[in-house]
Amino acid sequence: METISDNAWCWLCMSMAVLLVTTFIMMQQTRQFFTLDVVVRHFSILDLEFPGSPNEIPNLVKGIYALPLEQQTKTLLALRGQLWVDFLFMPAVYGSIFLICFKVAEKMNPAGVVLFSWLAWLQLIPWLCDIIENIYLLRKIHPNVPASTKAVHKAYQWLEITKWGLSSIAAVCGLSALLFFWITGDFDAGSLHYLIILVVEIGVFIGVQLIPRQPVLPSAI
Amino acid sequence: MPPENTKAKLAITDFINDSRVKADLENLKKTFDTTNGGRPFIVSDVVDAAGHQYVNLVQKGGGVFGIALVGYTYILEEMGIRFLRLAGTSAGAINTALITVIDNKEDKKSAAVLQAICDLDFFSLVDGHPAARWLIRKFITKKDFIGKAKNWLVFGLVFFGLLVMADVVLVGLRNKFPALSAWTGACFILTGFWSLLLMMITSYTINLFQRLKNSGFGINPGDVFYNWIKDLLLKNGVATVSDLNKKASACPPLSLRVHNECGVEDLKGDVTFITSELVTQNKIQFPAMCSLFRTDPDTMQPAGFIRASMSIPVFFESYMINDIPYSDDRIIAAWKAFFHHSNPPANARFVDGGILSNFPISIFYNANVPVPRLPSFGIDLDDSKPGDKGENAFNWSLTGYAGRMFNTIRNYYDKDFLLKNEVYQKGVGKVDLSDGKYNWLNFFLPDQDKIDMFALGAQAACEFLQQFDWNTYKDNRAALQKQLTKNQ
Repeated sequence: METISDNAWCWLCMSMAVLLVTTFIMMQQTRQFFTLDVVVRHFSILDLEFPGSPNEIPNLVKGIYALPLEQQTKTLLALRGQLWVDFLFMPAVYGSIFLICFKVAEKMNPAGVVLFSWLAWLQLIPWLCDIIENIYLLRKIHPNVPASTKAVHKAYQWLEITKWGLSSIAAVCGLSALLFFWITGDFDAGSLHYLIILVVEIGVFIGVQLIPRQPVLPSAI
Repeated sequence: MPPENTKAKLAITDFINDSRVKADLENLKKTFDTTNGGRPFIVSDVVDAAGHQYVNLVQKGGGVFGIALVGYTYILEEMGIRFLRLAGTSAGAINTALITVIDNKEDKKSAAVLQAICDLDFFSLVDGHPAARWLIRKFITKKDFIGKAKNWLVFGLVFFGLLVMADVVLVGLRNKFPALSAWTGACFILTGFWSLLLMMITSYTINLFQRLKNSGFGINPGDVFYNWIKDLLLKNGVATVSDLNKKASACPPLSLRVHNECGVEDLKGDVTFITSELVTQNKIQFPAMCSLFRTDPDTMQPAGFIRASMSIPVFFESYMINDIPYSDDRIIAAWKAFFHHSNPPANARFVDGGILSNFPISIFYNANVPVPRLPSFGIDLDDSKPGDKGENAFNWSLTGYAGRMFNTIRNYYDKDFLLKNEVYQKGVGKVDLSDGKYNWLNFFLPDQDKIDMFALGAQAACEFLQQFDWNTYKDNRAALQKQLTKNQ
């Protein structure tokens, strides 16, 4: 624990770097996400994470297999690729939230210590949920995918709510507390250079995003 | 996915044994009981061996008001009326389809139609995203939902503003009163939560709109309805367009009560579902116009015609026919014949026929018959709200103004025909649903409302049959025909 505590900002810079790199890769992959749903249309990973009914994921996957072969191959490669890259993204994102909560807990009163320590360690649950989600989705990507049962669909929805709920709550609490410490000047000047590194990382990420790219159009039917 | 049954399942007897329905029917039968001094019941000159009288029937669209149509046709059937040619739009198309495919022309169909209604969970037809289903339910069932939603939104934004102000004030005070530190921290965290909540609501709303755009601006896919009607057609032996046409045209041997120079040889049944096609902007009559879209009509699914007819814009996704062989000579010839259009489209997009012709009685107009052999009956659904006519026209809201413009445009096509051929109006019975108690999109209808609507339909049919005079109708139509012939 002491190793983490002593080097938490350093670890955070590293995990943020991994998070931003994997985000960049996944955003590139998303550009190839197409499905045939009456017409060829774009979809996002959120459509797979929040299906409205048990039929939505199968319909979307079947729509990919209904695309012309060239686009089908590109989309399947991108989708599977994104789910695999997500395994690298997970430790980065949940690790970052863990570290933020962990650092915040150090500066808190006893009640705050308990709260933020809990929030930090609870990140193992969304991480596990994310792993289950990716395995579930990877197993769903085949041409004759059946619709899930209602029970499985319901369980999947709860899995998503748990994943997004726990991570969002922890992230919001941690960032709000950090903002509070920043505004009140309650921070160690020695940690400022880590903040500069984080800002530079995010700046580079935004800068790369701003480079104009050719729009990806689906291969002709 | 088959529609689920409601918890306490309705039974056919709940409808037909309703005291109002029974009393109305009894009174009607008494009116026409010749053994007790009543007048003879004659509504048509076309009869079959069992004494059934045949009429053409057109049924208006109107969402869940379709149950009233079933009440109306139930009374007609109980009085020995059968339907030769049938046409309908939207909800009218559903009842039309069921009457067409169930059993034979001379049989009563209402019990089977009612059974289909009893087996259907109406809410399952609203098969869109759960959030959209929730919103639709609230919007339709809670009259002040929009006002409440607006209040919640204002509260959310004002509370957020107050939290930010509290953050600023507490940070300032904390320097003088360190004891406020914990409160300041808590306020920051609460602000974070509130921001998260607002962000989630905003992003979810954007996501829902994105989904709406992706689905061609239709909230509900309509797949449950399509599968439901397809199963019913299949259960009744209708798998192809040929099966449908065969069922619609099959008639028992018919005869005329009184002489008519046209005879009965050319009398045969058919069925028409009206839908609106947006690519070429035309009114399409299925199955008659199948040749516009496929060289072999049997490659089309008849359930699609009804699905196309009831695609209420935005509420349901449009019904699409893709890959039309537009360069095929037969397709080109069909487009030329129907619409003088020599460039057929590659795909067609259908929405509710009600936007063009919600009450397509004009399709039964036959210029070749000097004296009609059978009447064209129509079932009109009057859902004008009580305030519609009394309210000052200058005080309408934007939605009220837009709604009235849309209704004026969509209704005038059929209204124009009835104004110019007023005699057809005499065959039209009106179901009064104008008390504002029901909403035509209320797919969450309680069972009692379904029974009430059925009873209203039955009541309207009884009132109509009491005042309908076949001879006057026949004379008026013959006179109209004579006048038209003279003018030519």
